[in-house]
Amino acid sequence: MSSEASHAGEQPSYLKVSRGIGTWLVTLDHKRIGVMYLISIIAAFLLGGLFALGLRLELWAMGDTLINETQFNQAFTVHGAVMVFLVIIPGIPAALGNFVLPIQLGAPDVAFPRLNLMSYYLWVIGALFVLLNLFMGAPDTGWTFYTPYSTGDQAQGAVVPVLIGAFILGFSSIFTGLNFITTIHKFRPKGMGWFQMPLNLWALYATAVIQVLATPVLGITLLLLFAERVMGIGIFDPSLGGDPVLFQHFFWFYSHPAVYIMILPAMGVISELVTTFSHKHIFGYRFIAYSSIALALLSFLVWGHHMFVSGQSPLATMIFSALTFTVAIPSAIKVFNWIATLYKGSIRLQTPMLYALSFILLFTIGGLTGIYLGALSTDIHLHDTYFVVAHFHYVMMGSTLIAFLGGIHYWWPKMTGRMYSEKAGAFWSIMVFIGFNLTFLPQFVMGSRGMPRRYADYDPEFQIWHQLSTVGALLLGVSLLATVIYLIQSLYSGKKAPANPWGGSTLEWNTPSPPPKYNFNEEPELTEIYEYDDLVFDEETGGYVRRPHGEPS
Amino acid sequence: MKALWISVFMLALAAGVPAAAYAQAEGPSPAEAGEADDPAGAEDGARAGEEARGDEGGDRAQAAEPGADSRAEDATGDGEGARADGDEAGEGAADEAGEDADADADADADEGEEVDEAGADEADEADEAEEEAEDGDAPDDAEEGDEGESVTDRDFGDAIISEGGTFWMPPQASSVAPDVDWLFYAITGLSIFCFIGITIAVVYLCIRYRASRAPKPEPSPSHSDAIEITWTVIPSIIVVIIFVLGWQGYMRLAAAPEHAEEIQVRASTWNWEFTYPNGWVDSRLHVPVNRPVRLVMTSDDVLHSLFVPAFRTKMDVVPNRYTRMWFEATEPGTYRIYCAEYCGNGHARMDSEVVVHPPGGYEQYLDDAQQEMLDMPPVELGEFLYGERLGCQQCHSIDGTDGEGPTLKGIWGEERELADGSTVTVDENHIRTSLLEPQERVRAGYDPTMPTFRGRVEDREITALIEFIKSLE
Repeated sequence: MSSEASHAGEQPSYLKVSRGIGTWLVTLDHKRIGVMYLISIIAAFLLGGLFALGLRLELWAMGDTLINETQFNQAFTVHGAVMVFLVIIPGIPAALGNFVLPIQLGAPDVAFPRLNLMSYYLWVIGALFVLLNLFMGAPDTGWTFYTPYSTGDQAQGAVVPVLIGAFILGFSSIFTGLNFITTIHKFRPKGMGWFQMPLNLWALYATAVIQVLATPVLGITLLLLFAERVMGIGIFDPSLGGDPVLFQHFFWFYSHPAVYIMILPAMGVISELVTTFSHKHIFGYRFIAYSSIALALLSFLVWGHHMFVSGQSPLATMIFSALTFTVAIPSAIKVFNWIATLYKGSIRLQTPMLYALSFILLFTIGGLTGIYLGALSTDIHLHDTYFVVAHFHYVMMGSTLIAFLGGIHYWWPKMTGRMYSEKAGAFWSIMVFIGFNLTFLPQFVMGSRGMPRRYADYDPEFQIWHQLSTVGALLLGVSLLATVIYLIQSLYSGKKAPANPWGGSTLEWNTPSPPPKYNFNEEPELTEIYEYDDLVFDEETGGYVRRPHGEPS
Repeated sequence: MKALWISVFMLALAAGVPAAAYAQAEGPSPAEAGEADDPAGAEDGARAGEEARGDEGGDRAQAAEPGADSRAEDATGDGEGARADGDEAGEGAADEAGEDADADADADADEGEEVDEAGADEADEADEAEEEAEDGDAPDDAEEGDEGESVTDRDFGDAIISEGGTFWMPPQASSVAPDVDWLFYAITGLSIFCFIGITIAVVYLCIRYRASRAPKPEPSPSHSDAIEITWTVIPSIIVVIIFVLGWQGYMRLAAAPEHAEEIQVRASTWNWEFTYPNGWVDSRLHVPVNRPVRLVMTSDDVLHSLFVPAFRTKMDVVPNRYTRMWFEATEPGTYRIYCAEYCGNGHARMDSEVVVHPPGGYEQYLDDAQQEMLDMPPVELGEFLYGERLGCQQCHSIDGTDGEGPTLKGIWGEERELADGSTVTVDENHIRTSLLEPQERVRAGYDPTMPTFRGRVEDREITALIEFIKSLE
C-alpha cells in the first residue's frame, strides 16, 4: 500500500469522530471502552497505591504510629481488594486487550460491542460497591475473606458491600472473556490461522478461557458467604455447623486461576514487546503459544498449594505440591524463548522495552521464589510470612503491572496519537524497577527470618528490613506518579505519533495513530506474523513503513 | 553457526543449574565460605564456631552437640536422590568445618577484623551464645531461689533467642530445622545461579545486539525443537528433584513419632493456652529438649496458626476441628511463637514463647506448677488467670487505660452503661455474666468482640477473678 493511497481514504480518528462526554459514555467502540477502562483502572491503581503507602509508613516504626491496628487491617484489606479485583485482574485484558485485540485481528470491533460496554459498566458498579466501604467503614477481613472471621461478629466494617462488589466485578470479567473468545474464533481474517495470530492474542485467549471457567466459582463462593453472613445459613462457620476450610478450597479454586488471569496477558504483552524491539521474529512461537494454554489448564489444578498448613490431608498436600511444580515449566520456557529472541536481533532500548526487560528479571525472581513455596518442607516455614508477600508482589506487581506499564507505553501512541517524552519514560521506568526491588527484596529476608504477614507491629529485629521496604515504596510511589504525570503531559505537548513508531509488525501498526472508528481505512494487508524484513524507517514521519513487495532494500 | 553458540550458552546455563544444587548440597566451597553474604557459609561457620566453643566450654558442649551431629549426618548424606555422591562431599565439608572451627577457636578480638562481615556477625552471635551459656546456670538459681514467684512468670534464664541464625534464617532449634534449611539454601543457590545466568544473558545480548551496533537483525532460526525440548526437559528434571526433596522433608515434619509428649493447644483471639498432661495451663509453651512433642490444637473462634520460626514449623488452628503438629526441640532456650493466620485486631499481638528446657527442667516445671495450683490464694490465682492463662490483658488493662476493652481498674462497685442503653453495677454477678455471656454485657462504646469463657473457667477461678478485680483500686 502506498502512502498516497492511505491518505486518500483517511477517515477521522476514533477520538475525533464524535465529541462530548455523552458520546463516550454510550460508545460501542472497543477503543473508547478500552480507554475508559484504562482511565478508571489507573484511578483505582493510584487509590490502592495510597493504601499501600499508608501501610508502609505505619510499618516504618514499631507500635501504633500513624494508624491504629484496626485501620491497618482495613488498609491492607482495601489495598488487596482494590488491587486484585479492580486493577490487576481487569488491567491488561479489559484496558489494553479491549483496545488492541480487534485491531490485531484486523477486525472493526469485538464480537459483541454492547456486551463490551455492559462489562465496563459492571466494572464501574462493582467498583462503586467496593469503594462504598470507604464511607461505611472498610472491612478488615483481608481480601481473602477467610471464614469464620469474615462471617463472624468480630469482623469490622462493611463486608457485604465488598462481597457484592466482587460478585459484580466477576460478571464483568466473565463477559469480557466471552467476548474475547468469540471474537478470536470468529473475527480472524482469512489467511490468519491460529498460528499466525500475534502471541498477545494467544495469551488473551487463554486468559479468557480461565475468566469464563473459574470466575463463576468465585461468584458462587461469594454468594454462599453472603448467605451465611446475612441470613445465618451455616456453610463455613463452625458454630453454625459449617466448615471454614471449605471456604479456602472454594476461594482458591477461583483465586489461583485468577493469578493466571493476571499473569498470562502480561506474558502476551511481553512477547509482543520483545519481538518488536528486537526487530526480529519471536523465538519458539509455538512453544510460547502452547505454554499459555498449558498454564491456563494447569492453573485449575494447583489451588491446594495455598493450603499446605490449613489442615488438609498430607496426601492432598503432596499431590498439590507435585502439580504446582508443573507450572514452573511453561513459565521457564517463555523466559528462555524471550531471551533467545534477543539473540541476533537489532535491539532498541526504548521505554516499552525497558519495561519488558524489567519484567523478565522480576518475573524470574517471582518464579524462582515460587519454588521455595511449592517445595513442601520450606513452604511450611515460609507460609504466611513476608516471604510470600514478596513473592506474590513480584508476580502480581513486578510482573503483571510492569507488563501493564510496558503495554501502556507501547500502545500509548496508538491510543492517543501522541508520543511521550522518551527520556522521561526511560528514566522513570528505571526508577520503578529500582523502587520495586528496594520495596520487596527486603521482604524476602524478613519473611524467611519469620516475620508473619498482616502484622500491624513487629519485633525490633525486623525494623531495618521494614524501613528499607518503606523507602522503596516511597520511591516506587513517586515514580509511578511521575509516570502518570508525563503521560498526561504528552497529551498536550507530545509529538504527533506516526502510524508505526516502534517498527511493530502486527496489524495495529498498519493503521494511523489514533485509528479511525472502524480501525482501518482499508482492508489491512496480512503479512507473515513477526516479519520485520520489509519494515523500513521513514525519516519524514519518524515511524516505520512497509516497503512494497519486490522493491530492493 | 552462532545459532549453535547461543544454544551452547543456554545449555550451559541449564546444565549449571543442577551443578549448583549439588554444590549447595555438598556444603560450600572454600571460595563460597569466604563470601560475606553466602548464607550456607555463614551457617557452617556458626556450626563450626559452636563446636569449637563446645570443646572449651564444658556445659555448652552438650548443647552444641545435637546440632553438630545432625549437621554432620546431613553433610555425609544418606545416599539417596540428589545427595547420592554426598559422601565425598561430606568429607570435604567436614574437613573444612574442622578448619573453620580451629580458626574460630583461635580467633580473638584482633582477628575479628580480618574475618568477613558474616564472620563478624557470627562472632557476635557467638558472644551472645556464650552469655546465654553463662546465663544457663541462672534458671537453677531461680527455680530454687524464688519460691514465691509463679512458674508462669519465672524467668527460665534466657531472653528470647531471636537474634542469630544466619542472614536468611532464624536460629535452628528443632530436629527438622537443619533439613529445611538445607533445602532452602539449595533452592537459594539454584535461584541465584539461574537469576545471574538470565541477567548476564539479557545484559550481554542487549549490549551485543543493540541497534547502534547491529542496525539490522542477522538471520537466525526462529525456532529449534532441539533447543526448546532441552530447556523444557532440564527444568522438569530439576523441579522433580526439588519436589521429592521437599516432600521427604514434609513427611518428617508431618509424621509424629508415637511416644511424643502430648500438649493441648487452645487458641482464641488473641491468646495461646497450653494445657499440659497434669492439667496445668500456661500461656507459654514449655517443652523438653531432645524429646518429640505433639501439639493437638483447636481454636475457640476464628482461624489461627501456630508458628515457631526457630523450629521451622507451623500449622493452622481451626475451630471445631483438631489439627496436629510435632517437633523435637534440640537447643534449650526461649523462642518466639507467632500467630501466622490473620485473626483480627490483635493478630500482631498474638505471640507467645516456647521454653525449651534442658534435661530434667520440664519435669521440674510440671511439678512446681502442680504444687502452685494447689497453693494459690484467690487474688493471686485471679492475677495469674488474668495475665497468663486467659489472656484478659490483651484487651483489658489494669492501669486505667481503655484498650480493645474497658480497663478493669477502679470499676468495682461502679455503675456502667451498656451498649443497649441500660446500666449495670459492677458486682460479682456482672463479672460472672460478662465472662460467661459477654454478648449480654457489651459496654457502651465497645465492639462485641469478647469471646465467651463458658467451659473454660471453673467456679473457683471465677471467684478468684472477682477477687482480683476487687483488689484493683
